[in-house]
Amino acid sequence: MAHDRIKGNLDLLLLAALAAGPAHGYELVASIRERSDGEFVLAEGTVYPALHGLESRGLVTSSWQVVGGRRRRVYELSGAGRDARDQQAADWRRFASGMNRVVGDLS
Amino acid sequence: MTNDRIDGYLDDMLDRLEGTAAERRRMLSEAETHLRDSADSFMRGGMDADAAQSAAIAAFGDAPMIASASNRRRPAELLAAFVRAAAQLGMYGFAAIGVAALLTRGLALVTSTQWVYGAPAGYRFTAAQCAHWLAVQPGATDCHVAAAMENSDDSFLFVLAAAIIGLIVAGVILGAMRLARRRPVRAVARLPRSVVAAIGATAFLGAGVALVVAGAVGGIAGGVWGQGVLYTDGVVALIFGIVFLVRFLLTIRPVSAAAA
Repeated sequence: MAHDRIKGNLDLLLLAALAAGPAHGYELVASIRERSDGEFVLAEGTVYPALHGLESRGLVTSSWQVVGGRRRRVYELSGAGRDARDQQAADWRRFASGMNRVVGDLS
Repeated sequence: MTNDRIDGYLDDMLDRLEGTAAERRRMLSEAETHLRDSADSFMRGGMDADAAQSAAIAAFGDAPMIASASNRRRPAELLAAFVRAAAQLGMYGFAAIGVAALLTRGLALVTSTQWVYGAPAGYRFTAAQCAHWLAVQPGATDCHVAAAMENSDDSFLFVLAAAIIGLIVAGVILGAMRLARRRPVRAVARLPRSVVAAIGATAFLGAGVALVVAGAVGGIAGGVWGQGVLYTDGVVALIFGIVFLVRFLLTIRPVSAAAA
């Protein structure tokens, strides 16, 4: 899938991936790749500025933890993050539904 | 020592990252852990160490792009950083005005109010000026003394106003710092210390040189009011400028080689 399309929806992808529980960046990238059946392959480094942005907006919190012998920043959804994920997911479903109706008519 | 591609990549990224030391260290630390995890994964898939590191770096994205994404800030953050730096420099500016005013008063006591605050030698007052100065300074014996006393009083009011504004600015900064500590977000954006110090050094040294030169030229050519004020203000500005210059030099010096 085009990088630009993923980039425009990276916040929602990260919020959705974090809904499964706290995770560090590498886990989040792997989770997005697996849950999209390999469709969403993004430049992995871009998740960190996105996560920092989400944190600065109060949508996620983070802390250093040692996981698997390495010190990692583990991210977790905040209450505001859950609300934002629900809102953005609802917006996305409406958009996807509209796209499907239009694109479906072409086939 | 082996040629570690990930180390080279991180060095490149560090050169490109902006922001506070904590922000850069965090980004670099997260990037390294991610790259090492990724390389380990590729090695488990059968790659040798060098190829695994190359693949991990390729998947992570090139350093300029990732650093650029990390450096991107919201306009509000940038504005806050500029306001913070301006307020910091302004606070020092008001402090310099206060110190200079006190020193000028002291200089007037040990030299003469006339030299410090007064009109230049040979200055001819018009009748209207003379009447004005004597009206506002009824204790003065002549126009020259009245003018010097009025200038001295004005400078006191000036420093009082500067002190009040300085205290307000300091209060705003302290309040903002307390609020920033309460926010559960990443470190507040700020301009690099070296930039703030360079601006301070340039402004204070420039002002100091200009004031001292103005005092000296006035002393030679005549026609300058308050020659002592110019010298005192100039010297204080130069001292503040030197302090900023030292801070600038300290911020740009390499990390101590003694630890190596």
